[in-house]
Amino acid sequence: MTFARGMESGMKAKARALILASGTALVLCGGCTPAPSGNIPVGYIAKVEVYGDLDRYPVRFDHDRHTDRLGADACASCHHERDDSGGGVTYVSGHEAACETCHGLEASNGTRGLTEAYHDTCLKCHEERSEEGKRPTGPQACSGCHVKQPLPDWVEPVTFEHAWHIPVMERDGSCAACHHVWDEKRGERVYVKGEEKACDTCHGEPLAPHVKTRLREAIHGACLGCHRKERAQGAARTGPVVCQGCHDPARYPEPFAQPSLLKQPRFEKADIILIGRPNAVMPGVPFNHKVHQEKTPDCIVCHTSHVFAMADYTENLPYLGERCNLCHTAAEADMSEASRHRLSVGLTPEAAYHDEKAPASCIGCHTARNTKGPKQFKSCSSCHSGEKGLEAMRKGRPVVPETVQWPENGPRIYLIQELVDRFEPVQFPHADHQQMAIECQVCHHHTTPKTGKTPRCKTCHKSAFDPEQPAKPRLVGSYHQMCLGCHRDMGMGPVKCLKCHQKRSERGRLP
Amino acid sequence: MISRRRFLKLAGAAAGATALESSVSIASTERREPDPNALGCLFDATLCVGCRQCEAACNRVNELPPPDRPFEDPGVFREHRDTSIRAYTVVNRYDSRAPDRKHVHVKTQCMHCVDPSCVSACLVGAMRKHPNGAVTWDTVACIGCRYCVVACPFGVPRYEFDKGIEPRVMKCTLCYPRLEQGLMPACAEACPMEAIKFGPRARLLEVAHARLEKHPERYVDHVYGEREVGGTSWLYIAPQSFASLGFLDLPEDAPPRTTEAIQHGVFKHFAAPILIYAGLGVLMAKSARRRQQEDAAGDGEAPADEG
Repeated sequence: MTFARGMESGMKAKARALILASGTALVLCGGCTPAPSGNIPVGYIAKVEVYGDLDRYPVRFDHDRHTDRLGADACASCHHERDDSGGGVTYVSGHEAACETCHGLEASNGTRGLTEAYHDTCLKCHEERSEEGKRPTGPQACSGCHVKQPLPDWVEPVTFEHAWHIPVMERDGSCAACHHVWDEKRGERVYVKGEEKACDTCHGEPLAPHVKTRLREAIHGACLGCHRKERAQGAARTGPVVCQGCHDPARYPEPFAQPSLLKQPRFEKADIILIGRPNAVMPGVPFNHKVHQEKTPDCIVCHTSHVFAMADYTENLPYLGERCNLCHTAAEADMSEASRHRLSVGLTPEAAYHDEKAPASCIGCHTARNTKGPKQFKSCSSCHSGEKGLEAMRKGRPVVPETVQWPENGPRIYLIQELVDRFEPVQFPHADHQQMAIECQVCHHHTTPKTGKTPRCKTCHKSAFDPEQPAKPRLVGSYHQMCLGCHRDMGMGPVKCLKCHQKRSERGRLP
Repeated sequence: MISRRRFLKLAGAAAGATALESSVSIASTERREPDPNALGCLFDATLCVGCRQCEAACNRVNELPPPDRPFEDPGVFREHRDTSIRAYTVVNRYDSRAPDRKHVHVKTQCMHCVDPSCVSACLVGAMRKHPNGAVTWDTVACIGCRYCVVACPFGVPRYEFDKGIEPRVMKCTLCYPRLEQGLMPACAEACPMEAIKFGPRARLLEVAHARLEKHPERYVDHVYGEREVGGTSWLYIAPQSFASLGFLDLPEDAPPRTTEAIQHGVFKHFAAPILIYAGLGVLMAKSARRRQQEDAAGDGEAPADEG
């Protein structure tokens, strides 16, 4: 049960808008009984209808969750009416009414103003619960209720079924799959039997000193990581891997993974495609989707959670394209938010294909699985074979990169000495880049295999300013634009100044 | 004697006539075109990496006081900075809207307008627009009125309020002394990414439009400074809306065209003196006539008084 509590507190972090102000029941409930049994819709307080224009989103209030948490005292915690005999307020069963029935916007005749009533009742209760150690407490900070950006309506608080997970945990012989504690001495996470605590003990706000992962990430990482791994291994029954699977199970009951079903092609996708974009430096990459589909256990290997989450429900397929705005509502604001928590966006397409560390990228996957990639990615052109490679692949021939005759051209390491007054010369590993790019014209952009000449950067790009050709970068600019442009786009190679330029030591400084 | 009320009425009528004249001439002011040989700079916000080498070079060349924090310190980006008497140019950092970049850096300095408001506002001609595009300030001529500081639509010129003796107006000079020597502005020379491109303004505009055309996905389709306030020597292209990068949304008309039209209109065709003298003439004629009437009436009444 500890874990279950953790999950629910986790949702507080993930979905602050949802685990809401306990306290005031504002939704017109139409007579709830002392043991209310749901059916009160999630409503909003601080509504536009009452308050007019609001600075933030109306406060979302989940009546059912409050009645569930508060048990027998639930109704009396918030609902009351003026008691004329005693001068105070009492709760009378069956007389429940919305707050705004009596509380006006301004205080009058001894009745508190609506805002004051909300804040007093909700916050007081949340704080009391916090002091008593009850979880979840409900938000205590302003932004906990007054959210800047609401979550999609379908994101419901997650009910974690601890019991379902016990067999899985016991399979590994311990509960270590989820529960761990921090071992100061060893500097790592360890599982200690009997020390199982809820996630938010350490991952909740404020974070425990050694903890870096916030609750939301920790829980998503633990649950989804396990579910995905199992699914990728072809398990017959795994937990949800899509957002709605946990957050909106009523509308989207997770179809327990059926690998055979998952491996069905969902899209009318050509078997062989050319991955590329216009104006790219490198020619496109012919890609055999069919082979990858057959060889990989699951679509999710490449189509990571983000794509996969949306693609998982066949009934959603017709409007998949529109599903992005399920989470990414106000496009601009939310995209930047998304990039902050790095939901697979926040990477350039180039980086997504090339990142050695990302398991879903071409290079990352082929390196990690040690599969037969095209020549093990020894050079750029082993994949980037363009239209010719596409033709070859279609005809079933192995894709052989065009053998380019550039025998031993250029130095192994080229010293760039433009900024030697401030930095050590840059040791440019020319040979390594030759091997990676093969085609010289990737950098030597005026070179063609036919001319056979490879002018150096310096040949055209002079240090001095040429008023006749303002469009042409000067030498230092052309180096930086060429090197950094590629490194940044690819998500590979140094982009920080001092990675290429070593500060010049005093002794070695030129006179 | 003319009453105060009557005087004001007449003066008002005279002012109205002048205003009418000037309103006609406002419509007829012409847009000032950039000098064909004018130089300028093109700043490409997609290239700038925020290394602040431009600031360092500017500081060195203009012999400005050393900064509070070293130029290598990226911590300065935490707050928005403005040009000051100690920094002719500053680079600011903005959040990127693109998922693949965290920040966009934008350099600020005097825009060296084609039709500068500061030059127009200067009473004594201390602010000068040079044929090569630079707008500079002359220490000898300046009387310290600071109209240039108020007039600038970009709020760039700064006045040395802290100096009792010979306070200066501090702003970027487009490195005018260096241009005279055939050198580039220091910032453009120092920029390692060549995010600042120096050259003839007309050619830079071509370069800017060529980049927008070649990479429409990378830029917003606008060259800031091409038309703003009648055009500026500094041109900007950027990956996201200029409003999100702290640029002001300014009209295409140069402010001096409006202000000068009003001011000059008042004096056009010798209008003001003529109207004033005409007004005075009318006043004199009227008062003379009234005195005559009063005298005539007085003649009739006088005996009665005596009697």
